[in-house]
Amino acid sequence: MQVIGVTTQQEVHIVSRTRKFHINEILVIEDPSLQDPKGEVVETLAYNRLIPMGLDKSLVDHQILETLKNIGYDIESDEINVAKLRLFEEAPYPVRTGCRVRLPRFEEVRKLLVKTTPQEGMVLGEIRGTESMASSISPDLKDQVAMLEQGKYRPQKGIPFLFDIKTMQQYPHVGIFGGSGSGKSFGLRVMLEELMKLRIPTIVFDPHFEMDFRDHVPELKDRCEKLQNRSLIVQIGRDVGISFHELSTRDIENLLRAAGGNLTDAMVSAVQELHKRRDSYTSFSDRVSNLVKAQEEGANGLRRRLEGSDLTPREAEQINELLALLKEYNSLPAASVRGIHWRLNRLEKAGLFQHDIRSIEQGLELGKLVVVQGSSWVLQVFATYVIGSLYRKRREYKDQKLNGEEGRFFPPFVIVTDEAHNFAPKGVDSPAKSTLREIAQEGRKYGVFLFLATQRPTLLDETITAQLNTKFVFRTVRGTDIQTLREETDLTPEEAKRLPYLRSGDTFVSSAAFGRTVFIRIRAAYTRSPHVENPFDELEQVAAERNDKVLAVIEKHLPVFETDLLSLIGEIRRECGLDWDLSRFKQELDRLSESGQIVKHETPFVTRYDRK
Amino acid sequence: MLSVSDEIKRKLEKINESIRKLYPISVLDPVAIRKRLSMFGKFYKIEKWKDEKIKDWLSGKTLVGVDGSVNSTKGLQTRTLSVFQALAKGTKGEEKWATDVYTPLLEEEGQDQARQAQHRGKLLSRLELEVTQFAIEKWQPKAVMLDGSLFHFYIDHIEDWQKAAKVAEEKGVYLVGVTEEIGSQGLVKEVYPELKGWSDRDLLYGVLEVGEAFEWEDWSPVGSQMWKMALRSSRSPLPIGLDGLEAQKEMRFDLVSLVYTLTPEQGRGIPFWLDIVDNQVRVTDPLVETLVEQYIDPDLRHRIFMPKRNERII
Repeated sequence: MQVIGVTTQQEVHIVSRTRKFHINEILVIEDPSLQDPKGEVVETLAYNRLIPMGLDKSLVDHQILETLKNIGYDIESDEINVAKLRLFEEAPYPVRTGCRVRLPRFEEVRKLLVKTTPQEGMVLGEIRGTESMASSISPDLKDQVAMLEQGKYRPQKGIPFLFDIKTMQQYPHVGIFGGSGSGKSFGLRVMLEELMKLRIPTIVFDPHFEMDFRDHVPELKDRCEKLQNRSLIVQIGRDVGISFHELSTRDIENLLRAAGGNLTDAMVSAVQELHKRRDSYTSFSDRVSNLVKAQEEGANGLRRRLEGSDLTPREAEQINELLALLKEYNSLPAASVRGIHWRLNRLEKAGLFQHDIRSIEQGLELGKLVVVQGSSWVLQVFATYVIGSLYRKRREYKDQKLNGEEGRFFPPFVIVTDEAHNFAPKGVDSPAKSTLREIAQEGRKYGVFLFLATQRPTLLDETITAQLNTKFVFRTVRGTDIQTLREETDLTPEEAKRLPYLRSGDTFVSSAAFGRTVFIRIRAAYTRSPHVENPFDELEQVAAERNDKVLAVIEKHLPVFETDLLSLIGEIRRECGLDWDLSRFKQELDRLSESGQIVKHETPFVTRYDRK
Repeated sequence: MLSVSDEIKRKLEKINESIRKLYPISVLDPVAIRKRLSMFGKFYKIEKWKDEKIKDWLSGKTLVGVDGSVNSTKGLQTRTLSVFQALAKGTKGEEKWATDVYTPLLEEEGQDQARQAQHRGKLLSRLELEVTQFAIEKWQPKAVMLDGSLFHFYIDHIEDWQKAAKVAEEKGVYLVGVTEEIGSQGLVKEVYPELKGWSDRDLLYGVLEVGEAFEWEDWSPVGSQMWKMALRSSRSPLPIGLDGLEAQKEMRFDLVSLVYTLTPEQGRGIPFWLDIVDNQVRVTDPLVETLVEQYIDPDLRHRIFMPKRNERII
């Protein structure tokens, strides 16, 4: 390997006749006057001048090449490999052309690639292009990860990629970007596994119901044992909820907004008037629903009822209360109050107010990973509340400590969410955005960090994106997103060009802590997502099961004549729970005969179904 | 858009007509030509060898391709510098290079253009024969394929040619010359004396089928001691010319088969091995420029060799 052609302080071209260059591999240029600079291969190409690609020229047929090979000449030996190498550090003057280039030994590049230990850092994958150093790698870094390639597990070949979570103090927050199928969700799963390994309190918002860590991959069983009992899954409305009396009026406005689109000004002022401090859900919702009732009947209607004869004292009291309400809030437009009432009901039906977040707090205090599941809109509402509430707790503790007061300890924690652009969209207001923004900007002071994943970096709030100091960029196809990523990271034009073609699970890590972009492959996850069954397989399976049941019933009666079907319908209803009428039953029988499971005989007089 | 004046169009149309008169359709019928040709020579069907056959034939020996190339600085006729290279390359990785340079500036005698061209031809032939002889003696190949006819060595550099031919005969190394253009006129003069100005190439165009060879005993001039054949070795309708030593005549069909086997079906019909040698030996313009830049003093370079046209900017 040798440096050829024009060189600059940053880049050189290298040629080799025998060795194929690997993208992202590290090479050492033997230029003693520059202390043997090191660099990374950023572009590779190979060509054979004897097999050109001239569209206007004739092609060399394979036969001739084979014949030549047979008589001792291998045309491939005339192949030339060329690579563009970018130096890690700019040299004071250009590299000398003609210098020899060699592969590094691990010790020479250790400092560049490894910043922590596998025990203290997050072991996320393997650094691409480091395979050539496999033999000289130090024992403490050997066999740290298992890799999944083309559906097969393989042992670690290169240097493991270790993310030093402690550098988050300086360079907080992580972004994970990539389109669907890019390996982004797997990457997120691996990160969560590592957070669990390190016992870092973490709260995960999981709109897809996929962050379940209880199902272990059998092939990697010995590696995932330490993850047991370190995660906790809670569902909104079933295990956790919002304690209403802790909410401020502003919180309630946000909740109502999340429950059904934008609030009108009239609705906002209605909430402000109706909500009282320390209101419980019951007191507040009673007030609202009574007001709705009162406004529907109107003052006159109520008074008329009050004059009615057969009222019990209790009923009279109720009517008087309604009248009082009506008097107190007579300025509020009925439509707005009804809107609030409807939204409040929606939140209540989702079970949002029946529980609290104690279990989440406990989980975090135990250093667990808490996964919060719920449908997308409820999750947004809940996340807004829970993030705000947890962050406040942590901040209060830290502030108290700063003032020399003895507060109740609340741990630092990490907030993780997929589809982050839904929580903090650019340009549009959303309930969670202001809290997330605050954490993005100030969180590191209090030890609260964000791991945000999204497929649409362009749609994520810019202030937040700018604060993500480490970005994992998976395959991205959309032009606008590539553009955004180029602006927000130090990806080079060559790297950006590769983005649409990355393999699933390969990712660029652009990290302020590393000071440069590293190309890695995410390791195999030790746990797997619960719903891996393909819905189409499911469809087939269910249909097959039903067929078997129906066939079992019919079988006993075959051959069946068309005229006897009615009695069978009853039996099928009893045995299989299928409520079919005659024409449906005939259709099903025809279908079965089409697929060859029974045979249909048609004569001018009667139709008969029989065994095949 | 490219604008072409009407005048030039008219003139070209006229020329086309005139050429057509020289080459009337009536005589261009391949069947008739074949019939005429068969009265003078013989057609042969050549088979491509299978891999095993070619291995057997070479019996472990190497196969050598020889080619040469010359290129000159661009400039006035007498103010040029020519670079010569010849290469013998064996299929087992052997290589033998020979090089030379020449400038008419340092010649004492008259420097007319024809003489210069002749001199260059002679020089190149000498280098090619030098590497051929080296290859024959040192590598003991089964056969040597030379780019261009053997006959032109006989013309250009008879002494060296006779030496090389003698060594080849002694060592039992087969020589075969491969020409992409059949430039001779002997055949057409014999077969169609009425066609003036035709060359053998014009006559043989499209007449042979793919894999067919034509031999006419009297093709090579008396005294040259060579056999000569035409072979359509690819789909291209223009056959290539093959020649070899009279002394090795009984092996000629093996050599024709060898050439045919090594030639890609598509393309111009030259064995790929010779194309590879040609690719390596070719003296390109940039190579000449670089060499001149490196080794000729700048003042001399600009005074003598650099044409003004090099400084064109568009």
